Amino acid sequence: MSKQRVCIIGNSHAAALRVGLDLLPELNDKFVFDFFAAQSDLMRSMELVGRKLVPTSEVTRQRLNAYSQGRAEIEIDGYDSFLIVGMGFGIAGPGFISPFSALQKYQIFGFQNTETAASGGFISKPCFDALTESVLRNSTANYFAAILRKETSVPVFLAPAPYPSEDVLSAGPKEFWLQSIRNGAWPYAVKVYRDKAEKIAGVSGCRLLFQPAQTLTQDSFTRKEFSHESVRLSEALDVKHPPFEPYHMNAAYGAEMLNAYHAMMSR
Amino acid sequence: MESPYTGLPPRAFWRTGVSEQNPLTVTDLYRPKFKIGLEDKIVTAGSCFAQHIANKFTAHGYQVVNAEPAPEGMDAATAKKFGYGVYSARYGNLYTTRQLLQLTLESLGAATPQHIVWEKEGRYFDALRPSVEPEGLESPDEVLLHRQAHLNAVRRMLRTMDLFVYTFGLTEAWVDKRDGTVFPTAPGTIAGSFDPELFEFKNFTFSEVMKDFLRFRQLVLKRNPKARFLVTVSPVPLTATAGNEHVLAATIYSKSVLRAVAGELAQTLEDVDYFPSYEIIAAHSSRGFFYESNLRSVHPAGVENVMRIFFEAHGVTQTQEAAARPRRAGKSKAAAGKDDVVCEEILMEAFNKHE
Repeated sequence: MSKQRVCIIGNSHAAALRVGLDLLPELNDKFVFDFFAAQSDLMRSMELVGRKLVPTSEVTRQRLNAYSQGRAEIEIDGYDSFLIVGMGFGIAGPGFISPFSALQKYQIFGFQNTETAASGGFISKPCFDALTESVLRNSTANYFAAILRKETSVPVFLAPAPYPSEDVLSAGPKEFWLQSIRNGAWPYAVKVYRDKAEKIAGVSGCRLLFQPAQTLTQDSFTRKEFSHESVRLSEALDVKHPPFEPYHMNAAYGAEMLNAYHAMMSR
Repeated sequence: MESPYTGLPPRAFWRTGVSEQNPLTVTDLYRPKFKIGLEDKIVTAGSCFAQHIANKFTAHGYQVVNAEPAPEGMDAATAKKFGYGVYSARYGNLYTTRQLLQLTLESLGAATPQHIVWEKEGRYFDALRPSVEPEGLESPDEVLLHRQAHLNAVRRMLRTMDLFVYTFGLTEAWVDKRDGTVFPTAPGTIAGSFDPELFEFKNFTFSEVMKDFLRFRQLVLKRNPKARFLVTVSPVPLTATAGNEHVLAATIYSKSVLRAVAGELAQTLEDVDYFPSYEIIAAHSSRGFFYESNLRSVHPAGVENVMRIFFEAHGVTQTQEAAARPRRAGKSKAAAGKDDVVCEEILMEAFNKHE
């Protein structure tokens, strides 16, 4: 039986899946995974030309070449499925605009947080909801989803960036997180995020691949065993993130995601 | 003695200044009283037509103040829906000069309008800017908290701006009899309900509009002596009138009053300039070219012509406009187009049940 070809397109979060694959050698009996990854803002500089996604900037081309085994162009035909990872589709993360970053800057009435920036002012719930939808809809991930859904008929999965590690509740800006949980802002943001993610995925005709329940604690934080020793996206995937980096996950997490993908493809 | 008309330039005569001119290429229609620099902090406010002006200023590389920017990541259409980026702050349309004065006094803590929370279907709206939260808020307290943050932003804005661009819109308004608060739209249109015991119709007179603007100017200059003012009159007719006159007569009254106020301000005050956008669009010399088929909305070509005349008069070259394009490409701005502005006043047409 021929192997299924899977195209994984992502940003730094794709690194977890790449190293996770090393923990699941049996998957290589069924699948051939092609990884294409670079920083999110660089990935936005890709366009469909004919039946290929090609970089429109030289920097994007160079990074893709470096991180994707010397390949910078993605031929969209010939794959049995696409898995789009991260790239701004998520609730929180460093360096990208997210619902979480709005909570850091604005107060939602009824969810006041003393750790929120004093200068940001207020945002209403309808406005926060609309912002969340806007962020997800305009993410680089959704940009790719829309192209692939239009141009192919194979399954397209959207794997959001992971929930932050539970480490945020005990280190770093923990007071902000603890207040956000206590006052209801974070649970509210999580609910809105999930609703909007489902909506955007539905509109794009894609399937959402949320991280599996066993990777979570308290419903919306990733268990710390999945965040420690995470690797940076790099040529050899041998550079680790700093010890407290709660937004990127490790090989064990990547393996869980690949297993979840496998389960969905098997249905 | 020679006639005082001898030697006047072509613009001084109807034949050479108007009837022999093509409205699309007419020149020397406006001579700015003062220069507006690219580094000037420009604040925009007024009626719906003012939104076009704000967009064009930004497109030409001018610094239009945005005292309440949209949250990062919000796209242009969503931002506009929530009143972000429509004007320099989220005050919505300030159709009447009384609203402008009222907002300024409130931002300075010198007035506290009462009864400004309207309810509709269990949601609460800021009656003085009902369009900025189209789904309403959860409680009156939330409305007031948001409003206070908004007023803080307005106060800072007025204190630091270099140029205030105001488009006079209407003279008609609805007033709360209890404390004189003026609203941008009649109660019951977006939220609230109309009670004739509480609200009354008001059609501001020339002297009232003049007095309001002079008071506004005084309040600003006391705190920001360097501020200057550029006034225009919206060429957009009334959607509806609640006075006794035909809407055409009501419109001409309104625009006449506002044009007269704007003209007298510019004639008598060094720091106030008048730009004739009203004449460019509405004067019969344009034959109505610049209106849409409803004879009310301004066609994009009209907006373009207005701003062409403005920027040419200010010496903005095409090179300067082109140089500004990369900057505006990164900004979330709604593209100009038919019915592209946020306009509560147009909602009045919903009450027109006539065929």
